[in-house]
Amino acid sequence: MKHIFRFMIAVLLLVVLSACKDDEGSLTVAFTATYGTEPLVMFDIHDYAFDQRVQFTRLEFFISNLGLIRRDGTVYKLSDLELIDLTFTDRGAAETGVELTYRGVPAGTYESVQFALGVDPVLNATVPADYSSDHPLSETGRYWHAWNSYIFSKSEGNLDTLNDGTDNPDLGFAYHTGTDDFYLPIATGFPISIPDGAGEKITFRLNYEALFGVSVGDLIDIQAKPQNHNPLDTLEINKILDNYLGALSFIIE
Amino acid sequence: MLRCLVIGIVLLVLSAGCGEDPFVEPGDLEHIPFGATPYTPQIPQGFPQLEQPASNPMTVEGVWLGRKLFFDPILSRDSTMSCSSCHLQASGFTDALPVSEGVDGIAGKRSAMSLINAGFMYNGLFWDGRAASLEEQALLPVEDPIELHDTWDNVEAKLQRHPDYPADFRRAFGIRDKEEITRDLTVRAIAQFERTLISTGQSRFDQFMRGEIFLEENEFNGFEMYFDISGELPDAECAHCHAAPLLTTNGFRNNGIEDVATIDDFPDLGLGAVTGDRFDNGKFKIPTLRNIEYTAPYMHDGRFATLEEVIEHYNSGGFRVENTDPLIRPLGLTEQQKADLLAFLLTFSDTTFLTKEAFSNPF
Repeated sequence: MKHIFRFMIAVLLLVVLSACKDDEGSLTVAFTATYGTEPLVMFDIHDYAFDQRVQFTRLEFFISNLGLIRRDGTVYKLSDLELIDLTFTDRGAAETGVELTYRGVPAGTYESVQFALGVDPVLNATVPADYSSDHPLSETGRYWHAWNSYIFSKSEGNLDTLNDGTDNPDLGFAYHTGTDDFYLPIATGFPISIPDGAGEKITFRLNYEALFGVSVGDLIDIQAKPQNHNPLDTLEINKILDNYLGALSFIIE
Repeated sequence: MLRCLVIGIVLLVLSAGCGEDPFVEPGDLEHIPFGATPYTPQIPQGFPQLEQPASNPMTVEGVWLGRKLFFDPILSRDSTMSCSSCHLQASGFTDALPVSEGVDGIAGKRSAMSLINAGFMYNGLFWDGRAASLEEQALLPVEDPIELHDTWDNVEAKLQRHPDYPADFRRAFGIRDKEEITRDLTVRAIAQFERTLISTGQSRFDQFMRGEIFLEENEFNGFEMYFDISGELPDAECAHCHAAPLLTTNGFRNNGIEDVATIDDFPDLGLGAVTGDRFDNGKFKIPTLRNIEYTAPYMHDGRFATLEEVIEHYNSGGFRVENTDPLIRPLGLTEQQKADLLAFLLTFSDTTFLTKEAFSNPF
């Protein structure tokens, strides 16, 4: 009986020790969409340029090669690919956004968080049929067969060009980006520490008012060009890509 | 001694002639061998893998049973209709009606959907997406009063007392007693058959995509507009929703066919009635365009009799409310461009599929 008791104590200790593994923590990476400072809720109506009003109905993008840059310049990879779908129709979900939590991250201080907007060129050379149906790259609606590329981002909605108070936007718009030429690496360039046995969180906020150039950056004239999902016709796509850096901010909580 | 031997032989012959094993209880099927053979689906080049539920792997015997059940009116209250009554092979497994009618002659409110490549539809079945799987889908028409209008209890009883089905279920699923025939096994068999309804890869579109043939000039113009390849021809905005190779993305959209004042006013809420999200109102499943030539009339309510009418709708830009897909907009196609687009749509025809013996009525 005594031996059984000792054995049980040993097993318990083992379980506790393994649960409190040293030198590891977790990192939560969150993405939220805002319009100005407000959470961006789909179908809410916001002021736009030209005395027009805008309404977003679908916001999503892929990120690739999410990782932490060590001091020696090497990268601790968190994820190869994630689909960030910010299409939320209620405010609470929009405030929370998409949260990705990675456990077992070696504790310590890293120089920067990095990822790229888009699908890594290696994965972008694959096709939806290569994936099982539960994989985000299996969705044919996110792939351009004509251009042999995944659609890296979708920003869709409606524009009220009349602003007549009817709350009935009269023009749809869709800006899609894709192809390897528009793969956009991003790094925070700011140190982040992963504590032993605890968690850290970094939230990226994408301000679509800035992304569309309303507040800063190059303005998208939606009425003049409501669609620009053809990679051979890239005027608006280039504006959006140029605006990303000014529209994306982060906070470490 | 000899007399005893003769009597014994006669008794043996008589018992064998009765076809009943004296040691087998009524309904016992264990004397029938069970060893279901895995079924290997034939999938065209470029298609995704066919995913089968772990709870319902396809077998040759399961597919055969499902095929019989699909075509057998035993599933209906008055034995007049089967699945195949609304899903005719020659019509691309639709029924050529705007909306389908059930055993009582009552018209439903939606058109029968094509079943081609149904096994690849992972994102909800029916026009409103209310069934998560083919198995779940097959449960519903039997008791629907505007479809087969029977009860599953009654259907199970009919199958259990049928002269052939108990043995078929034994071979497919290894049941030991005919009492084990259930609605669950019935829909699993039907789903197995439906997963075999895969494109043959012999359409002109498929041959073109494999580089085996050239398209005619007008078809090629349509191809360029469909996939927005040419900078010289307008974008017909088709491929966003009807993407290759399945020619559907399996999504749900409001494609602007309904002239309503607000998103709360759709006569048929579609996906919105299932999700309870008013922004899903008026959204319906994007159907495949494979064999579109044979699946008229078109849209969830069969409102368009011809493909010309469909193209005219999309060219017009449709009706806009908040959740109308943003890619629904006036296209500005000329008469020639519309004709070219139609010519390309006809390359989706897979006549081999429409006549394939393995998909036909086995009775």
